[in-house]
Amino acid sequence: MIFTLLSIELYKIFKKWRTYIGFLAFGVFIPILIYGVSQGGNHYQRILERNLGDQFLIVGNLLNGWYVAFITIQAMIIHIPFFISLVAGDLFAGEGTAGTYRMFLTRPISRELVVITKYLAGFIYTLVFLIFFALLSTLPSIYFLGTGDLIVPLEKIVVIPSSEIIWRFLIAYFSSFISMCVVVSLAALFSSLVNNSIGPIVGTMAVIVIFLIIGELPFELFEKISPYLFTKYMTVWLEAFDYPIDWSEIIKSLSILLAHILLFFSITLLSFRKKDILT
Amino acid sequence: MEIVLETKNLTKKFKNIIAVENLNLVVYKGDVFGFLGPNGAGKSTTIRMLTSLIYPDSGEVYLFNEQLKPNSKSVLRRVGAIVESPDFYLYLTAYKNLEILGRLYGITPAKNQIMEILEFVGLSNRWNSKVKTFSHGMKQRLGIAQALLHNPDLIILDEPTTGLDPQGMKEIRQLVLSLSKEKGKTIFISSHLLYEVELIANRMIIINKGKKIVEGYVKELLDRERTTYNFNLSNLEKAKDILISLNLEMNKDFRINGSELEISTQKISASQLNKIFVQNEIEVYSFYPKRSLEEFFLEIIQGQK
Repeated sequence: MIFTLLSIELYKIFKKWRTYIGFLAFGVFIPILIYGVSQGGNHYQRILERNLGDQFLIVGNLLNGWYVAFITIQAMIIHIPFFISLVAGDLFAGEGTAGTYRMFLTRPISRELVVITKYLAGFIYTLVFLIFFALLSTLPSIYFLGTGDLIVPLEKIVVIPSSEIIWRFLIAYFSSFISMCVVVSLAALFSSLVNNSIGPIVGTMAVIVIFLIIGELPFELFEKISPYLFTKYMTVWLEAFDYPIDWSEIIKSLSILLAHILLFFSITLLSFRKKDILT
Repeated sequence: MEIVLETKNLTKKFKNIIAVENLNLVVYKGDVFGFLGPNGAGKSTTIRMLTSLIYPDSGEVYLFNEQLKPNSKSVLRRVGAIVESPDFYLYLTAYKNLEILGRLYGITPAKNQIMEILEFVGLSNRWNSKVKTFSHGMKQRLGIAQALLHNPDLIILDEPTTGLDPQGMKEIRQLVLSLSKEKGKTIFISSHLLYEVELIANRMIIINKGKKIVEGYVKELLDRERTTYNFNLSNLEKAKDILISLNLEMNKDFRINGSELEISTQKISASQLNKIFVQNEIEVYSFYPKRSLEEFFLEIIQGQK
């Protein structure tokens, strides 16, 4: 029954227009970004080379396809969570709004199974979306802009040799997937509590944005709170571009994120089991 | 008689409001069971408990002698239901909705099976249309189709004619009757349209404020009280005098109402009254029983207030 339910959930997700908003947005944005970089990157590249040239031996084009892929992966912080919460926030609440709970839950299926399959469907949607995002942000940019070493201009400048780039991106995308599953879980939890998907979408984004801001404020109180906010660990994918990679930090962050997924899932399960369907 | 549905002391509260209180009812195999009550009486809450959409605070629901529990819902395989207005996935076709809802019963309905059901409810020509293009009446019929898809033994219909025009109401009534007579289904139908239940149900229960008022066979419940007839006659005053002179101990129970004489009696039948008038050279243009479930219902409900 679980596969039947899962296939039905996926069918419903991929039949909705809102599911494709994220695909459409990045399908338009990334080609524009590639085109923009290819047209006007020389000035920016000269600045980078001037700053780095006496410290590093740069091989190839700095504004290459990998660099564009690195720029686009920053969307994992706000933009992709938004598109994911658009779908995940509708997982339960959409049934409430449409009144289809009355059709769905009068069948001989357990509510636990409903929660499990809705979560799994949310995770699968996220996986599909991230694969699409990863392919779109790497393949065309590499085709049009070429390859080379990757400059990572964050708190410190890291130059990643081209031989290491692919597996580092794979780690980054895998870590991003776990981070985005936390977003799915939180949005699904909110979605299970109400009967309108606007609240879960806005609520999820509000939590993420507020936690991110609190986590970045340079005040003692917020610095103490910061380790307890799951958003601190959602940028774990950045660790894949550090040198050397701090594996213990990646494992710790992923463990905390997985614990949050389990927590949100458990709360959803408990509340949905007892929920009175009144819509 | 085989019991198909039974509730024992079913109770549900929403905060301080008691929606259903100690409700006991029994539905037998083959019944068309009318579930009556004014708006807010607790009908939908009861039906939601019967279909496990909400869970009772206390009391039990038995379907086919098996208790319905949150973690034991397999018995729902034998039940088809429409709870309030049937809502579907509007972005899917009628066919796809039925296929999905059928699969949730653990069956994969064949195309001809779905088409047969759509034919039965008169929607076969719209099988490939998205439900968002359907009228309310069409959705109601599709609701009945989804309730029948897995060939259930018990069909629960919650106010299935609400919002329909008279033609649509008639069609649904005929559909319910054919389900009962031709397919031998047990039907539990709630309504606040009392004449509707009078037309199709053999047994019924009336609830008000979450409590059972009366339960039994429709015919018995109606016959138990005295019946009122309205006679349209050529001479109302003469007819009235005749009834008084016959000393039928019903002097206070008849009155002239417009062009009709309204007679409320327990002791004399309509045919006897008709004979008396004709023998006394009073032309009888028409007569009809006014006694109906509606009156009965209103009396009971008013008695509760």
